[in-house]
Amino acid sequence: MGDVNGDLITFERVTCSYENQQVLKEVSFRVAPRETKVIIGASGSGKTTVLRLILGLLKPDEGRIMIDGQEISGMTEEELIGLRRKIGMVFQEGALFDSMTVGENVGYRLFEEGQLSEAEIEDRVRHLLGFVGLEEAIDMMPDELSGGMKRRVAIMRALGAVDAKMMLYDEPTTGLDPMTARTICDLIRKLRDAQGVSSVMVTHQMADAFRVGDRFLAIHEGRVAFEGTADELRQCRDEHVRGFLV
Amino acid sequence: MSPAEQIKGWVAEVQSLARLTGRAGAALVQRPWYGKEMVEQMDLLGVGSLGIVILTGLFAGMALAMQFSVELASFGAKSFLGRAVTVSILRELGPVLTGLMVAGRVCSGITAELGAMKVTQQIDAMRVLGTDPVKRLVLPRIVAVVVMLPILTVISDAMGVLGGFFISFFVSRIGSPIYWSEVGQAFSFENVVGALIKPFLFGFIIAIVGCDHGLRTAGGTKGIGLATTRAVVFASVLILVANFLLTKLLVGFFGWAT
Ligand SMILES: Nc1ncnc2c1ncn2[C@@H]1O[C@H](COP(=O)(O)OP(=O)(O)O)[C@@H](O)[C@H]1O
Ligand SMILES: [Mg+2]
Repeated sequence: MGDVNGDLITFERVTCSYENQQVLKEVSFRVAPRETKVIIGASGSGKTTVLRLILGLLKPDEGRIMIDGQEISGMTEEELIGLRRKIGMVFQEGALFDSMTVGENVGYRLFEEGQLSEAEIEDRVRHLLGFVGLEEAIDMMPDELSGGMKRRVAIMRALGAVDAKMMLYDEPTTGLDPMTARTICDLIRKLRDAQGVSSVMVTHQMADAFRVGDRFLAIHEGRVAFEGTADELRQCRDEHVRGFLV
Repeated sequence: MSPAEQIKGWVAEVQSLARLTGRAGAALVQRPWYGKEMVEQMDLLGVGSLGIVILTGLFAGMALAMQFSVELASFGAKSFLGRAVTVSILRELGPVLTGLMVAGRVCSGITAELGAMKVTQQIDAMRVLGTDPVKRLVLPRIVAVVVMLPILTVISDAMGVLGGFFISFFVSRIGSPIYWSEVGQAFSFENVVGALIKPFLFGFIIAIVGCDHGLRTAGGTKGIGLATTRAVVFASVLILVANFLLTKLLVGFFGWAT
């Protein structure tokens, strides 16, 4: 059963809570193929939770979540592992494995799958790191990298997820200086154009949101406050959304 | 916290342990097996604990011998010192003390490490990249501690008996052949079985409690500190309770007169 609209991600009235605190309330939205959706919202509004739901790291209390035409709420962890092969995730702060080298991080999935020889994996890892100008860092530990380098490595590790159909970014530019933030945004755009992937980027930095986004979703206190294009967003009358734009 | 809430909390902890045990059991019979991680953990957790285990065993054995020597001398049974020391060490002191020391060092280490991975989202990252954290992180630690704790306990026991010998020789002036022949008397089948069964169970407790608290860590850096403290306390209490139950079982099984 495929999704009738061919959307890659569909949320239908998704409600989700941690312990006894409701975090998302009846959230609905779609992400089309090749689209870059930017989710904006204040800290604690539930943006990361949306990404965790897409990955099946968390189950919704109510509502349906379809990923690439499959309903995921009822999937087992085994089935989810298969699904996650299509998704590259860049965590807030990178979440690099700090006991492994940069190269082992980027090649993590390939090492785990054990299909390729070590030399082949290294080739591939070097190629990926070369793409972001970090080939030299292959034997370094994550501790030794700057914030911007960590994000780039994290993006390449996510991309090492071989057949990525979509990329998820959790605040990829937060805590970076504007110059570095811009290079990360350019990288995200480059990946979209080169690989034709859909992306979801979570951020609360509007400049970066406008730089990469096709469509925008604003979340306020767990509810969707706005959905639309950049122009529509600029004209939006909702006071919470407006508060965000200035 | 009211007592009712406290009890509820403990029940929830035990439930969570049982769930993780189930998942670890399932991981044990499924590929892939992270053999390299297991060896690494054995080295890190096991070999790394050698120092404290040697010191603990030695000093506990010496203190024990000192006490027994006074007490036995008062009814003229000083020559039994070797046996008294060895039986106490094999049955109780060795397993429990080693278990508690290793809980302090290893259980806290496991919780802090997995807790830090949890709060920095490395555990989530692992799941997203297709690895089951129970297989890659939990099972190797369980196997490592369950294999290493009995070995550490044997070493600690040996050091304790040796410590007892120092006291008997230099302080109580008991001849070395008498001490060692009494030590030999203590190595009955029952005592050896008891000495070896306990550390398997204690090792399992240490690893599973450490992993469980680590994986459930929440609340940033502060949460790691809290989780670590809780894990060590919980593991220590569980070891003492398990020790009592196991002792009771062994006493019944071997029909020791009480
Ligand atoms: N593991 C968790 N347990 C309990 N509450 C959580 C957990 N993760 C997030 N929350 C709470 O859920 C709300 C939304 O979190 P999150 O989705 O991370 O927000 P954002 O990414 O927009 O800052 C916050 O109030 C946060 O405190
Ligand atoms: Mg967040």
